[in-house]
Amino acid sequence: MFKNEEMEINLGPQHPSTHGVLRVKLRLDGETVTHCEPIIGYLHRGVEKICEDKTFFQGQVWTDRMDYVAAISNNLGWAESIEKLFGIEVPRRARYIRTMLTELNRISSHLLWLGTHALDIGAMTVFLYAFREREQILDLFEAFCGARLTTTAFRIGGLREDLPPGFLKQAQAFQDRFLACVDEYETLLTENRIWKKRTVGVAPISAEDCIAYGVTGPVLRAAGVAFDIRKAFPYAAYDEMEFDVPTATAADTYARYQVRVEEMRQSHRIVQQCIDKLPEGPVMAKLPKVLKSEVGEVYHAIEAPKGELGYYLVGEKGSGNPYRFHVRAPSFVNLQALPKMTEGKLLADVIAAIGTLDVVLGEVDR
Amino acid sequence: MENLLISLAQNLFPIFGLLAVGGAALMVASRQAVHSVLGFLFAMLCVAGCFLTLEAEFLGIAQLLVYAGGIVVLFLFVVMLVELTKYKEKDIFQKQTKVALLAVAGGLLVVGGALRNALFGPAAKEALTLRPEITNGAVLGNAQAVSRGLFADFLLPFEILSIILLVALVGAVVLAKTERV
Amino acid sequence: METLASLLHTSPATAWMAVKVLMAFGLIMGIAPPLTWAERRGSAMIQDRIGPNRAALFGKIRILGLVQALADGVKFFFKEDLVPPHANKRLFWLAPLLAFVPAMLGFAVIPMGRSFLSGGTEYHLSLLDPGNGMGMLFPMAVGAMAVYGILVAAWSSNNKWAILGGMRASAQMVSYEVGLSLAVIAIFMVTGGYDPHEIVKAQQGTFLGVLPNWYVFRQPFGFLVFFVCMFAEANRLPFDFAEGESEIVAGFHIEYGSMKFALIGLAEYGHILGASALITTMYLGGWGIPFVADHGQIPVIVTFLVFLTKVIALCLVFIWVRWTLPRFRYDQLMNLGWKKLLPISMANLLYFAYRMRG
Repeated sequence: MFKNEEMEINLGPQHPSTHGVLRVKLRLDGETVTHCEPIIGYLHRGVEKICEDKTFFQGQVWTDRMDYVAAISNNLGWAESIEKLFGIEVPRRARYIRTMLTELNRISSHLLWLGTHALDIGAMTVFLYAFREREQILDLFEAFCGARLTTTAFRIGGLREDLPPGFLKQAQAFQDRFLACVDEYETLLTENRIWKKRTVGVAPISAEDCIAYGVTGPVLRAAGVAFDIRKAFPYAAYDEMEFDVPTATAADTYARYQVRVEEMRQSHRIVQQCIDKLPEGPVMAKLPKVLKSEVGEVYHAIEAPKGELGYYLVGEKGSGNPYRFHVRAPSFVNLQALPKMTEGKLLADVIAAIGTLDVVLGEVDR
Repeated sequence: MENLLISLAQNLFPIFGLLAVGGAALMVASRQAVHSVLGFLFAMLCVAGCFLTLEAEFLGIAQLLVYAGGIVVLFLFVVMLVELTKYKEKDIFQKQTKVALLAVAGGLLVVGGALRNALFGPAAKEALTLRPEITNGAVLGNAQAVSRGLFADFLLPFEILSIILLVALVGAVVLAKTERV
Repeated sequence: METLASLLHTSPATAWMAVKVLMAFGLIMGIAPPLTWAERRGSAMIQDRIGPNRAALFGKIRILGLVQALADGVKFFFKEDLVPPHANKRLFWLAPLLAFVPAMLGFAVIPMGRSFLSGGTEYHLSLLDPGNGMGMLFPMAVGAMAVYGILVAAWSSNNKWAILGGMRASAQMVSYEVGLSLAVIAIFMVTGGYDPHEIVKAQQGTFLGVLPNWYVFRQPFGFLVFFVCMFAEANRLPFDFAEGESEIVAGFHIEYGSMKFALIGLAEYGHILGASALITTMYLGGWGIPFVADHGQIPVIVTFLVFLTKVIALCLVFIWVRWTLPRFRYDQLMNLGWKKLLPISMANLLYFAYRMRG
């Protein structure tokens, strides 16, 4: 009569802490998770297939809508992989501006992660602090391209327009404030004993497992592997930037928190270098009106805020659209590790694990 | 209005008593285990009320704290989790009317006998007289009375009882453990 | 008092009782809406935003958003009172009441001001007169009842999240109650009684010459335990496991709406108020003014205001903590309760017992 009965429960697709429409099927013994199965596809729009029907210029609009938290990173990946396919050389000023915007986007993505992750764990105030600064970044995006979220920021071969007047001043104003803000988040969390209790040792995944699952980004770096595509295979203007790749060894939620917070500081550093060293010159390469591809394939990966974002494109002779388009989405790959990280742990740890993986469902489902 | 209040106040003991019996009846009669526990809780609260009307406030509050606040919560907890949905368990718990009737009849005999002795037996007069002077006027409030009883007059039985409870506790833990392995 | 009593055709005692009941109930119900306001505006202040300020009476009177509380009340009244089809209807109705009543009852023994003489009789500003034999045990006992509201709500909703919330609530309760009781016993022991009036009286004057003679200074560790446990008892962050918005959605009250939800919400604020009043009485000198040893000449209303100030200040601490700290995991509260709070309060008790020997 008193045998343990397991309860099956659906965490999501409508749940405050699944960051979108993720559904996690859990089997619970009390509150201990005995089985965890992420179920995805609620936001599937077929971006990859759609892009095969769009011209190279049009496709970028769809990349905005994958990882909508870091749309500019997606834009960069798309633009650069097509430039790689066609062998287009991007002007140096454009590469600098791209780098700057992408790094700002990394900060805004990490801010959203920090806010929601803290909110999931119950610290409500960090969320609004983080959004305060994110707002400033989105204002910068708006000044640059008119959109705040779905930016479609770049053009193949460079930028549509140069920076608007006053942009650098606005960016500098943000730069001057931001480090103090990061310190402020840290005063709320880093040494907070409850925060540590909820994150230290929670949802661990070793470096070997990360590599076996293909997990990249801050999760991998928090396991001690200093793999960052910006360093390993530099793109945009990263080869001219000075920055460190923060790593940690504990491989738990707290380590990932530390890594991401440090990454924000490093991104701040990169943005500052971009502002200071911004070269003069054109922002657009000379391009034909219509891009017609040859047969060829290209895989181009960038370091998105969530991890390795790879675009695989196959060209078809004489066609204006890609023949095949595939995205290696970091959220999708990282999400695989969720059962590994949570089975045998408590329900509250599942929430922390989803938060620390920093998945965006638009990118998982595409 | 005031008269009604006063007459209510004067008869609180029978009122609480009847309510307690009602709660107990609900506990026995309801088919839902959770309803039963809530009936039990109600009975416990009313018994605490009875204690209060008898000016045994400490006992009343102890009743609330220990039974209503602690033990019944655990009952409710267990019953909530172990829902009696399966047939076999229903058979065990809800089809024992005959046995239950027998047991109740036996219990009635014993209690009735005891009551008859107390009310009409040779010692009835002695048993039914309240004798506050038994405490020698040494105690002031009923917390003191209870503690004097527990820690002075009946210390040995009290300690023995706690050991028995401890044994029961350990036994329960052992039983629960073997179930799992 | 006599005139009021004769106007109402009752005895002074009954009239005074009626006044006190109205006062205690009115105090709770009167403070709860401003408390929700303070919670929102306070959280807005903490979080660097504005908070609700749009609701207006007649399109004009905003009073810093205080009208929002009124608008919420109206909204709760007019919302559809939905009972989910798979719920156990009777218990679903009962649960908000079970949650609400204990939250209100806890106030009954708390003295809210100095006792005073009028027409030869002594009047006390607590619902139950001193020497009733229940004393501070009463709010403890009633506080323990509060878990029934949560458990019954959880079970009757017939929802898995709600059940998880109920499980957490009961697991939570067993983990802090023991430490709490031991901390309280140390106070009873030092005071030599458990009557709130005695406890308040015992805290008048000065301690070590520079501090008020409050138990918070005399028994800081006991205070620590009690304070933490009060957060757990009020189901507030960092211990709001039964609700656990981001984990188990809303826990035990996931299925509740309209006035039933409002009752549960009011119960939460009632618990905050009750907990604040308890802390005030036990550790912060109750209605006593710091450093004053003899309150005989101080007007009753002043002592009442002192009490109120302390309670409201503590309520604001509850709000402040909620918007600052993350949530524990519920097994961590058990660890905290059994491995930290219990030993601390046990040591506290033993220390004071040792000091009182012979």
